[in-house]
Amino acid sequence: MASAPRLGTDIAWSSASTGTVIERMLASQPQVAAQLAAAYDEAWKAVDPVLLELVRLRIAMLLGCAAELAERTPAAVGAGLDEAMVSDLASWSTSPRFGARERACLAYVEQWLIDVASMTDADAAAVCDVLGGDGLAAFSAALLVIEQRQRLRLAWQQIFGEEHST
Amino acid sequence: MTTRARRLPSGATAPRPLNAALGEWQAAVVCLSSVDPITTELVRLRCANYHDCGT
Repeated sequence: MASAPRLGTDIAWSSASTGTVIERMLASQPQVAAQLAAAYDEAWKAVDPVLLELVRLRIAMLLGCAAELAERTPAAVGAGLDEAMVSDLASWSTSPRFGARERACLAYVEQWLIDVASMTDADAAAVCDVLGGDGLAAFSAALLVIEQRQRLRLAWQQIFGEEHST
Repeated sequence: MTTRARRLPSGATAPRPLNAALGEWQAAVVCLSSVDPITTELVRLRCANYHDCGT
């Protein structure tokens, strides 16, 4: 009896977009892939796309997701994403290109990513001050989607990626 | 048990389409049947603990 093809062999892991990876890995559960794609689309409508792009790229830097780092989201480019800002993203806390809004949001993102249970009231209040209450709620929901997509991709890549195939 | 102040102002919410899409996705994930329900529940509870989620 022939065995089923190994998952992920049809994916160019180093260059495939995260959307493609999710679609292929969830090919047998297309409704789950479609619902994650829908949540991702809504995230870009709910938050300023330039701010969310900085968040997506900072997460990619911290998690080591090269494919995400190489991409630019069209909505962010269309809204005026500044590549000089992207170049300074690793030094957002000191670079003059980043204002109070971006700093509060990126500090929140980093705490969320590294140890979400240790998020302080002050971390949340800082984002609330610059985005408002609804903005904090939208930002947190969008951040959840962005983070989970990248973690999912990286976990699959570790398990099924080319360098691990036998 | 410690109590914590509410971090979102009363009534603050993410846009309805984003909340709905997130809810539908998470519900679909929990309904997947490839992993047995005990393991799924252990993972869910571990995540709730990690995220400090009392609900």
